[in-house]
Amino acid sequence: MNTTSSRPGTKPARYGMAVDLDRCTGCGACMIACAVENNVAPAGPDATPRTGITWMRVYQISNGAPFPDSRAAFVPILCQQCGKDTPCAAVCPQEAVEVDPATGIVDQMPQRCLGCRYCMTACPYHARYFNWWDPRWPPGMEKTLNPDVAPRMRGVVEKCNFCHGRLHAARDRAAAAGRRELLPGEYVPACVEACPAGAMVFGDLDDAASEVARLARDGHSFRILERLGTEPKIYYRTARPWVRQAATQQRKETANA
Amino acid sequence: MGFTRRDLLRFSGGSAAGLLLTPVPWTLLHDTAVLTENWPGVPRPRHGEIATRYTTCTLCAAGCGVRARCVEGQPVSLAGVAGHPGSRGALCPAGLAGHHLTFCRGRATEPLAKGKPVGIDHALASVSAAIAECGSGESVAILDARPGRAASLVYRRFLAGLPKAVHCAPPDAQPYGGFGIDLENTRAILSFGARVLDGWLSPGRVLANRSCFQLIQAEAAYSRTASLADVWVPLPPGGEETFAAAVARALQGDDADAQAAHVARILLHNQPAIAIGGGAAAARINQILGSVGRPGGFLPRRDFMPATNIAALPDHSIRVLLIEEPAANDSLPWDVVARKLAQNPMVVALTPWLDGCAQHADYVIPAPVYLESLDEAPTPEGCTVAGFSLSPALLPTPPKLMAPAEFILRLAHDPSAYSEILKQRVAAIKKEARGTIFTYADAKSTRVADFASADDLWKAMLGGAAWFDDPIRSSRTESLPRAGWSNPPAVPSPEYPLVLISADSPPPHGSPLMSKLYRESGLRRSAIAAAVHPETGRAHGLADGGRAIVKIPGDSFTAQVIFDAAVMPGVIQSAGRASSPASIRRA
Amino acid sequence: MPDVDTQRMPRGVRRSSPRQFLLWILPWCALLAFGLYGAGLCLVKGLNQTNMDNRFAFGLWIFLDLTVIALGAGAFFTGFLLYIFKKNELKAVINSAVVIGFICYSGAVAALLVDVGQPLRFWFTFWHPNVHSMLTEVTFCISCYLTVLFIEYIPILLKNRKMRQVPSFLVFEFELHKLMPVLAGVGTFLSFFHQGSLGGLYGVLRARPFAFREGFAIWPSTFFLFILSAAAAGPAFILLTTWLVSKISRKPLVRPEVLPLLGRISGILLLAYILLKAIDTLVWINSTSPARGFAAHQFYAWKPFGAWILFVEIVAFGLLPALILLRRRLRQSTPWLVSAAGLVCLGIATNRFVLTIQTLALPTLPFDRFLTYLPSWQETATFLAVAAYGVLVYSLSFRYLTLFPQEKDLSC
Repeated sequence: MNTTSSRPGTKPARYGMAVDLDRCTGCGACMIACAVENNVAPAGPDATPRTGITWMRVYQISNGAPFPDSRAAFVPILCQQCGKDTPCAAVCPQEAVEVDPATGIVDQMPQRCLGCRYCMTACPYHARYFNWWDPRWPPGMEKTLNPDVAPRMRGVVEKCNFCHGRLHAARDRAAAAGRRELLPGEYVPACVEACPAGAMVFGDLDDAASEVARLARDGHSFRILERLGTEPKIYYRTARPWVRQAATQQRKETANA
Repeated sequence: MGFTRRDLLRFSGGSAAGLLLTPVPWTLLHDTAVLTENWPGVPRPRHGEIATRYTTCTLCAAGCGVRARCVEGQPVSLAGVAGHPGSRGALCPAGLAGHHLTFCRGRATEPLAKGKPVGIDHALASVSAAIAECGSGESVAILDARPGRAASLVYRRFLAGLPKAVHCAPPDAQPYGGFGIDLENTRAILSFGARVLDGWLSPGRVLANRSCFQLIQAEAAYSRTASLADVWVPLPPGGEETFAAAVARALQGDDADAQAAHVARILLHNQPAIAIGGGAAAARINQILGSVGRPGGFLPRRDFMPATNIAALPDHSIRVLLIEEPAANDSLPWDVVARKLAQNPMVVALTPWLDGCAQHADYVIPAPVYLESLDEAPTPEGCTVAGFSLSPALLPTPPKLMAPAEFILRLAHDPSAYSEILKQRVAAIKKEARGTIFTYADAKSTRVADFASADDLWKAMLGGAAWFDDPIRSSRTESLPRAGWSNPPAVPSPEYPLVLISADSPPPHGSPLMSKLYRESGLRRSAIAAAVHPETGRAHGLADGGRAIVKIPGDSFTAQVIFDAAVMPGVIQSAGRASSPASIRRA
Repeated sequence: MPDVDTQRMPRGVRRSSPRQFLLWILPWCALLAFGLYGAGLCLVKGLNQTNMDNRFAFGLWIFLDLTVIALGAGAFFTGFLLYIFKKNELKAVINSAVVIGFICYSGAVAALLVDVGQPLRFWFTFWHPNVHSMLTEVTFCISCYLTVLFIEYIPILLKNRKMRQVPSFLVFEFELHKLMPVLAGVGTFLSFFHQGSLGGLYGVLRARPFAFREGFAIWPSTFFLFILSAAAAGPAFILLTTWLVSKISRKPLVRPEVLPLLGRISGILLLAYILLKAIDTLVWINSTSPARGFAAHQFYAWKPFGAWILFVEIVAFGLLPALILLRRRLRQSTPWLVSAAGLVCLGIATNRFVLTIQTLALPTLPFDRFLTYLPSWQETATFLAVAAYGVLVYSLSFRYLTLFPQEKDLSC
């Protein structure tokens, strides 16, 4: 596993998120903002729910009750930025996955990716996506590409990297203002910024004073697949017991649901 | 001895071995890596000067503030405006990708007469002639998607000069008349099918206040709002009036069924409460609750410009109809409109798109889309005070397009440009000296009176700002206008024993990203999916995941069947289709 | 006067006429062409030509690659037994085993090059190796082992009647033959590691409690189980292919005691494997899986992969053929022997299938569903190309090279 050294003179951060499932309405604004920020191409007409690229993907879960007592909740799933024994980083044969010790972000290098897709089998959250096609934009729409993010070519794996381009831009702005440290709120991924419900909070989990650290410690917070021991950095919150159960325990159905 | 085959082999072998010691193969190998990184066909983003510009979204009636990140003048991403009193810094998914709209296919690119390109002057002349030829009893109508704008005033002025003319609106425009909703103080909402959590008012405002009110969603469809509401009252299709009457009885202390009583209890314990949606059903309940004219209920505002509901016009009375296409084209029920057309009508579509009302039009006048030309955003829907903002263009206007208001100005032989009309509107605001201007760039609010001149105000608004009127103190308590039904609920019949209902609106024209991402995440079912309760499915011989043929009066389509135990038995739940009686059988 | 074709054949054996041979290889050439077309489509248009997707990132190709590499293990294991353990009876099949191994490994590597999204970047693994990744280990070892197999194939080629006439080839071959024990040792060492790492690929996946296993140091138990199962499958596959070639060519190719010997070797190893596999499965059911928070029976609740598949893998295709192969009387009977060998190969294929396909079909996220996957025609065609390539190489080798040294004596 390749490790870059921490930025000298700065305290390493451990960026994470707290997502309030009681506020999420499944509108998908986070998905759109993510795709716009990260130059995700609108795949062609052949793309299916299992071959499209959704770095941020909102799932719908239900309380399992039949009509008329059914209720839904929505769970946005993005790369959980696993902090311990990061499964994808451990298995990549070319070290195209790098866990940055300065930020805790699990970064994917599409330029080095061979496209073997071993990392995709290793990821329990299915947060990694493969470019099954060449990226194609409708004529003219390439003008709307974000210059801070390189579009990927066919045959490589990509995933959420907490809008790394925005981190660099924030660091540049801080440096221009003569600071080495980022102020809270100065660096925010596109999804967090876009959520109309304000359901997502982003920040440094190691900063005890930050909102996200406070929310992560809260009794309503949990992580998905915590028992696998990968120490994900996305905390989900809900006061509804059925949502917590549906998000953490498998349902007992036997047939292909 | 000549050069033998063996010599050749030895030479080749030696060269190959020697070559490995030179940089040649290694550089070539490295070049392959560079080639794979620069795959032909993968576009490179343009680099250049990055600037922030502000505008207002005109994709729906919410009028959210927009902050655009532009590279060399091209918007590459949009975000909300922090502190905006109406939108609370949020944008909906359509707004976040609004800058893609200009690249969508299916645009009308030049004026068309019955499908053939014509010059704009020819179109103007033909329409003028048709208007002049209108006989007695035949009227000219302008179907205004969003009445209340400066453009609407242009329409009215033009129509006032004609002998018989009417300014009308789609049935579900202006659902609250001249009233706004005091959502910040509302404690309970009884919604008859309104998409409260899925596109009602502005998402930022609704979601900022979500934890303050109890939401009772009364509809047949298991919609997103129904699935997230505090209480879902699954009404049989067409049962809104009955249920509303029951709730009204319960509110007044009379006997009613358990469900109505439960809802009435919630409304009484969480005051102020309001009822929205559903035609006349909500009006009665609002009357009993006394929610009109009270804080937490419906508050009057100054600017109301009533437009006639097109459904209320006499049949076969319109000879020339000019339609300004609503941005979200689901609210234009063509069959309702068609009934109002006289013999030999002329339909003129003022629209950017070829697939909406342009399909039924004789003349198509291509209009610019959001961000392509200076436009206006009127009072945000549901706002308790009058409002106005400009939507400055962030993109160059494609040639041969003409804004709808501009077309009407030409018909009226008025040489003014639309931008001048807007400037006059801003000047009027300055003259009335009421209200505040919220500027997007610095999130500051300034009283209108503090602006030195109308010019200063105009400049401020062009830079991205919203005007909000002062609230009026009025004791008006008259009822809300009866909300229109674009698509009244259907009831089954022996031939069509089920009812087809829609849980989602059809996707309006939007970024190709939107439909792609929704399809892939399964958040919105495709239009060719038909969800039925497993019992209903089995009763009609269907298989989960199989195909079925759905028949509705006048149409039929093939759909993929989804068994969903959350869906009401006896309905077929689909996306983007008008409610209608239906039958289904295995394909 | 022997014609050009016969001059290239080994001395003293009968081969079919050129016309008959052409009739045999033509359909395989056609299949190869068709398969290359399918593979070409995948390379040119991209992997959207397959039915793999973000959930089934590995599909038919990986499953077949793993199976084929396990079956080709006969090459290293026979070499190991012959050159290190001095079991000289295996001289009768070693050449055939090497050719089969070469075919299996080269075919698998070719399929892998089509399977990756960026084949031109294949050398990145060598340039930026990740010491923690099992796949790095697999890449290195398989590349080295393919080279070893190639070097082992050369002497067989050079012993061709025409090739021998070049003195320098004869000398080269003689020198190379002295290296054979070294090559066999190296081959065994490399095979040990890559067969194991192929098992390790799945055993290390913490995200897939169905596949995850504890083990020894960094190696999960699947590492060792894969080596053992490959060692068991190798001789069985050689048995099967030798019998098949013998049937097709209608000639005895090996002495009657060779095949039962292969069967016995396979049976012993298979029994050892089944015992260890059974222990491993029990440990997994009672300890490993619950420790990850999943009860093992949950995984078998998804149709169509019920607990029957476990039974089939361990008992029907595992214990049963092992017991057959360990009984001398049954080994003497060809139908029993060959059927048992077939079952062994099927068992290894089932084991690889369970680890590649079933693992991916099972949901990981709590609100996920069981997934299905069926390969597209392009994927199937690519593998048919590999099979056709194998048959063609083997047919040519059988015709012109001495794959079975005992054939000459048996044909008298």
